[in-house]
Amino acid sequence: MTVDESRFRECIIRSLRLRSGEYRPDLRIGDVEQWDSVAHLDVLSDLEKEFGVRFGLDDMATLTSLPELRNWLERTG
Amino acid sequence: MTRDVVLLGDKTLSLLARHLNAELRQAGSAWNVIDAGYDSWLVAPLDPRSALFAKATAAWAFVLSPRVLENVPDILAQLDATLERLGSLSAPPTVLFSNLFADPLHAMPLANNLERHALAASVNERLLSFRETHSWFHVVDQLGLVLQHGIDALHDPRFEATAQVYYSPAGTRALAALWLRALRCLERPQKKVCVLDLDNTLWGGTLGEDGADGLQMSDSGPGLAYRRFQRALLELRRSGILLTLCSKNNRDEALAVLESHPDCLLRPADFAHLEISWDRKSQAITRTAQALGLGLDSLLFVDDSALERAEVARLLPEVDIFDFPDDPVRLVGALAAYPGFDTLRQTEEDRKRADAYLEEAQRNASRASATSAEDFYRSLELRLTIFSAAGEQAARLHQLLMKTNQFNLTAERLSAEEFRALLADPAYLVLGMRVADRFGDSGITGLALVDRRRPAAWIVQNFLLSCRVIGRTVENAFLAWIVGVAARAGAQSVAFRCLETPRNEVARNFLRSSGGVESAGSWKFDVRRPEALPQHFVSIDAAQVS
Repeated sequence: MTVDESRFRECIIRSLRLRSGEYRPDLRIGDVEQWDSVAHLDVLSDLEKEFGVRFGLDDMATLTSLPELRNWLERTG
Repeated sequence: MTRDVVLLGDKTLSLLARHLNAELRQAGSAWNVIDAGYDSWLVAPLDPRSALFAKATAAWAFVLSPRVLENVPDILAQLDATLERLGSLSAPPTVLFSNLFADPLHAMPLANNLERHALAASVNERLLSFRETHSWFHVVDQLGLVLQHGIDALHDPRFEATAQVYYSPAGTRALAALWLRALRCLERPQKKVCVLDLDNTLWGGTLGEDGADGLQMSDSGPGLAYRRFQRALLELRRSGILLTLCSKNNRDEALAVLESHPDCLLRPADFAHLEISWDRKSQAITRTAQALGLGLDSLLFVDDSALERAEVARLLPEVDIFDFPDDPVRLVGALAAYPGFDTLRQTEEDRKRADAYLEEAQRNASRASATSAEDFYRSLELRLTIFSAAGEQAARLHQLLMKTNQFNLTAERLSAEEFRALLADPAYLVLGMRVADRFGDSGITGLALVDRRRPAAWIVQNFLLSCRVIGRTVENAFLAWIVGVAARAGAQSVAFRCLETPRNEVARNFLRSSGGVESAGSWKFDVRRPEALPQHFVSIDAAQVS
């Protein structure tokens, strides 16, 4: 599926409670203080809800950056 | 000032801590949540270096997952050991403990789950019986949360496998909402009154148009939603919330329905105050608050009309407005979702409160027929019991300290932990007071915090009575008794501290007319001049003061 970038961005901003200017399309876990392994659970869960998808156990462990997540959605969703 | 609450669990609770902190900040709460870490619930209470014993820690919250039933060998023995440990702490914190449920996803569920459920029930029973005897121990209804949403909506095995969290992120949000409600109970006063409309609120239909026979509140069909709502309101009443009416109707017609309609569960005597007229609802609600002697901020207004709700919201912003559902079948659910009546514990006084307002009406009738004020007071046969606060009564006294606004000399609140510290301090005399008369027993309705650190000059740090019992010379008797006991202990004076608040004029006026001398924010009474103290008509029993 083609991932609507603004929908993807809004979902990440909401999930991580990012302040304005903190979002970058190439963020990865640990780049901002809000995105640690705990917040990562919310990111995965919120993306699933937003895009109607379901990550497998392996995906949950390996998808740790926005480009990876975006690619996965495009490939799988 | 923030107060820390430490989360203890068998699983990882860091996501819960994060969501709960976000919710607490948004609600303006003083609570700050600290996560004690993975599988901390058995070990941390034994470790004096853990965050539990830090100075800022005011509460411990045990959030256990159903995995403890599977993973902990002999969970009942472990629970007993933990409760015993809590009970042996010299200055116990406030403890919140979630009740348990069994996860039914197991092999051979039909055969094996029954015992699993029974085990969870045994755990919950032990928690309740411990709560019975420990006023600082509360049980948080995690089981209710799971029954409402279902395990499939709250739990996700993928997250348990990757992050050791039992609750999924969505489930954690629901759990955080529950714990927010529980923690808020400990820091904000409960609403006291539910102000109710009639048409399309207590029953379906409009009395003026459909007539009494056309109203829907029967046990079947569309009336069932209203009948269930009435039943829920009766439960509120039994739990200490006052019900009042605020309806635009012809008074006689509406009262006739309440008195004799066969399907109506609520009767006129169930209401502490009736406003049935064509006046604006904001005016009727203002009169209601005045008649009950309560602030507008103690009220919830329930009305199906968006117009009436908007009028009250605009003119009386202190009043809570019920989020009235579009469909009456959701009325009971909406009432359950409203947090203003939340409490973690009910006292005997709560259960008596609604009847107390009826007794008060009988007292007023007796006052009207008495020939003099003295005659009236004598006819009441007032009895006062003064006791040193301990154990069971401490919860009620702390509740009184938190809730009383009008007859309260300082309106200074103390957290439950601060209050317990005073109880344990031998320099303080923490006195409770019970009142009864021939119309009824009002229960524990007065509190005095007496500071005896200077033996010659006692200071009453606070003195407060429930509004329900003032005006019968009980306040005079309580004050005189304290001055008397100070005299016998060798003190020369007793000073009652008094701070002006927007609500406590009645308490300040009482003190002003009680024969003391004012200086620097307190009123001092000379123990050698008992004749200057105000008169009372009360027999006092102080056998339980230690």
